[in-house]
Amino acid sequence: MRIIMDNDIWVICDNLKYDSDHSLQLITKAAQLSLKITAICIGKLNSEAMERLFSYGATKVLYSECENDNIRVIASILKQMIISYNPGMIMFLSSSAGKYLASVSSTYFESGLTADCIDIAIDIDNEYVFSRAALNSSVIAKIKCQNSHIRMCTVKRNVFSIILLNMQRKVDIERFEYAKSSISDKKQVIEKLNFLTYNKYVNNDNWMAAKIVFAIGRGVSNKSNVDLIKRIALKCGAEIVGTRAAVEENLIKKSRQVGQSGVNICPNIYVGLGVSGASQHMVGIKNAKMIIAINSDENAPIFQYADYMVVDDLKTILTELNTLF
Amino acid sequence: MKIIVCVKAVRQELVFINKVQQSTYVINPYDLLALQNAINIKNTEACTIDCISMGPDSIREVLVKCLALGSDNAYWLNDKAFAGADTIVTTYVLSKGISKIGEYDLIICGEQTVDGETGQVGIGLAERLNIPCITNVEEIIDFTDKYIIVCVKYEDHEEVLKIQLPALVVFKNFKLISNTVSLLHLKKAQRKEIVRWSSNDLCFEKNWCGLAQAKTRVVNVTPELIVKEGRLISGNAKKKAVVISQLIQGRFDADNYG
Repeated sequence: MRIIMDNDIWVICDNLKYDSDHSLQLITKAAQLSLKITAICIGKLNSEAMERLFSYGATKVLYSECENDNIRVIASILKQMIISYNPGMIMFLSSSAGKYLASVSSTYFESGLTADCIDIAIDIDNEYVFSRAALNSSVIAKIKCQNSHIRMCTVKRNVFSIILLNMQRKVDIERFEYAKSSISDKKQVIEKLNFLTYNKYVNNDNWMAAKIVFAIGRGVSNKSNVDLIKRIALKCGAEIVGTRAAVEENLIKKSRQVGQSGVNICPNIYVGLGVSGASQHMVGIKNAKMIIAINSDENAPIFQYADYMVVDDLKTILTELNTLF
Repeated sequence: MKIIVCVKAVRQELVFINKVQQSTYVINPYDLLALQNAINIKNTEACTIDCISMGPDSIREVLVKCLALGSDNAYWLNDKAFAGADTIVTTYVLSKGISKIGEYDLIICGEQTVDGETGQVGIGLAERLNIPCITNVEEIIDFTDKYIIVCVKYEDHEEVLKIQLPALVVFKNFKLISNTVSLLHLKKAQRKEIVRWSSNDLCFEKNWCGLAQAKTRVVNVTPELIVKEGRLISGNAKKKAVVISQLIQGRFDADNYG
């Protein structure tokens, strides 16, 4: 039997796009945990986006108008909302803005915060259990809050799926008026001198949906191997991702990092190249349909999770592979 | 100008694998970049740098390294009661340590640690000290004793911000290799005093004591990643590569293999 809580879960929606995929993923998950889901929208008025949230599980929207996108002002408004309503659990996006809001709120309210959860459940004691990768080991830590009234977590994008409800929920949007006096003083401290948008980075994240990915681990060890991998990937339509270690070794750029502190993906085929298999990386691909691991170390942890294991020198295998496509 | 840099000591093997390093602990690479930026300021402006770190008995060498790299003072928040600290406890202890150091203009933190990977401490610390916090900082462009100007980078845009001091900035990148420290500097640093404070020195509010105040608790750890009975692909490199290519192309015949 699934236990459902009757206390309020808040989902703090993306302040620039209330109905972003990431927000909807959190609302969908929250709806599986509680009967009362309040979506928090702080920003510009967008009724259409707010109404849309009810089709995914929100039972109420608490909206506060905020013309600028200053995250410090948004944090002050959110604090006032929390004081007024005292929710049981709050889910934040693990975007830059979401992390900021989570950190400020958890400190201000002295509340337990689990960063970058990969799952949330309710145990037999009716308490929330948050899962995340444990420190550098191949296990998942289950974390509970203690000594705190409000439980908080940040959740990465693509950890949960979006489910559209087949019934229409009543639209219930409440406008929250905040005390403007309490936030005006902080604004003066920071002044925006310049603002530059660059197109080259704009949301080119199609690669996240790739069916085949090649993951570069520390074992790839040099640029010539990376070039070889790129050549093979191009020929078989694979995208290239990497582990944190590979990013640190400068073998791949940070935006392609997969795992706890990177993105999550669920390809049909994942090929780990010199990837050792630390849990921080593996949680990012736990939904991959097939895992092929190539590593020269037969004791590499990744082999525990692999469907197909190849123990061999990476360079040799890559050279052979390159001739086959 | 007075700058405080928050530093965490992390186990060496989390940063360097297969590399010969003599130390057990190293400076968290994100904090190393923060420290490096403080040192850059010191190179052009009269200023002092204080490094502060919370950690167990075994991290002394990391604080010595901070001094050798160019930090003027090192503060070590060291107490068994701090073991098992979560972000709430960490920001609390650091804020008490920083308050005890006294006046400062700028606090610099790294975005996250390579062991915890929560990325919450810098922001929470600023909240406790009630000073503005700027995250995603890429570069310090200019500074005086009244304000700093920083470049902040997000996925799709960047901003240049002017912030009145005191403030806390969080750098978004990391640095693996520190500037080489001369043996002379290291020797000098070893002789320097490291200020060591326990919970008794830090004027905690009543009832505040490490783990008892932690807001999160690990209830258990599970190997939740699905452990599979994987199939070993054998043969010479050529044979292995053929199987891999068949798997990728979806034409591997599992029943007739091997």
